[in-house]
Amino acid sequence: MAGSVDTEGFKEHHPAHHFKDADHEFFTVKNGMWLFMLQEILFFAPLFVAYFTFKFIYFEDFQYSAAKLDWKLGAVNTVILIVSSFTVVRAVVAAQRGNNEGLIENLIYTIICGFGFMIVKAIEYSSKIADGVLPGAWMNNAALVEAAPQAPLFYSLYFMMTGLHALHVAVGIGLFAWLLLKAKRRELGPKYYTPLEMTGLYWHFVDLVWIYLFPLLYLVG
Amino acid sequence: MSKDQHHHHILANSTSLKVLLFLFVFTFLTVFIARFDFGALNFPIAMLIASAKAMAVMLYFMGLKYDDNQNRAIFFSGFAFFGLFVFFVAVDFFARPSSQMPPRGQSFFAEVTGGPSFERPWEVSEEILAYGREVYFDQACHTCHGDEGFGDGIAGIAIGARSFHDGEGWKNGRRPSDVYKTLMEGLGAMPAYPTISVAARWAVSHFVLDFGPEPPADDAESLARFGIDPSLADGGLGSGEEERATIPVDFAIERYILR
Repeated sequence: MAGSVDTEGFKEHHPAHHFKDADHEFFTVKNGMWLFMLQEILFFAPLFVAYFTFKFIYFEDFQYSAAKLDWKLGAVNTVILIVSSFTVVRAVVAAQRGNNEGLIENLIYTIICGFGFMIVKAIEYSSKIADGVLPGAWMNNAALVEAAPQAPLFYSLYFMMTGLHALHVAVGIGLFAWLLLKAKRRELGPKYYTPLEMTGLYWHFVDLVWIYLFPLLYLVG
Repeated sequence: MSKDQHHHHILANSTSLKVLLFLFVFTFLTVFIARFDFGALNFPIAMLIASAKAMAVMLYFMGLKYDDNQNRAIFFSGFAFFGLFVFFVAVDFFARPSSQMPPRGQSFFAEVTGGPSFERPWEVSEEILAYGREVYFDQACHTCHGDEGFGDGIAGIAIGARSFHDGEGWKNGRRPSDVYKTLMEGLGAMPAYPTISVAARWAVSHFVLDFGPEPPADDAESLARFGIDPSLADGGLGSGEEERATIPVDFAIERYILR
């Protein structure tokens, strides 16, 4: 264990009565969290499978439609999410070491990254909406449909996949705001940082989904 | 696995920094490589790089490298199930006869005009039944109504698609022109097919009625609903209103996608 650990001055956490100690609680909760994340993989899976299938059938239309997305904005969001994953790791380490200032600092960085991601997403969505590039039956861009008849299908998948992902980011921002409140009350320290660790795992999963969405939608289309 | 083997692992700063750097470099790499065209390899290359990044996040940031086998098994089984999902979809996809494969780069449905023409399409004949069978499968009617018209197609079971073998309870009636009306307007979960040709609509109407008991005959009044005058040789279809229902292929394809 590297570095010094300060366990003093944190609010004591009492594990629920059905656990024999704090560690028992922590590892049980973590077990449950991984099960939840298994479910999350399967939650996103049908959209990915649908995308693969239609990408295979309408290869050229999808390529053409994807080229209309701004890969630079996608790349910026990739970097933002990677950095936020890093700051979450730093937040967890800070809590493990009893460095409350470091914890608060990194939680704030993470929340800023989360909002940054949402702002970029809002810019992307609004430019698409302004061009009438909308999912399925709402598609209102004759030139795009002319060139790629299956563009409405591509954009249905695009909006569903990035929308579901953005929903996860929004939930994550809320969770980190809650953790920030807890950290300010000195409730997250070396002996108890369970909610932070679990939210961290969730956030890394959100990053994981984006790692696949970015090349899939923006690069190879 | 004993709970005593658990420990709270603290990730070293140097490790998390290295992972961050790795993720940056690979993000740059995937953007850079996307500038070159490797043809069919573009997709696997991008997925390979994404998987390398995902692995780094999972092992270090999510700490699976320091976690126990149970949690590793839980999470990685998610990817195994995903793989199974892709596998079965691929098997289904490639096992289909080519007649059922959607044409690439075009509409999911078959071309909407063309096909044979019939002098009096509202009247049943061997030829029009054969054409109706083609339309039935080309327009994917069988995905709901079933290959044999029992309403047992994969997509139809949940929404209760009609069985054509049952002569009772047809909301629009069972005369050929009644089925034609359903094709024009749709009925509940049944979508309208106004953009396929007039002949195709009559042909598929005859075809589905042929599954069940003898349908009641059309009269001048019921045919008049669709601008047909049976006293004329071609029913007035050659110059009548009805011909306007056929539209150019491009427009029809657009209609299908935008529907």
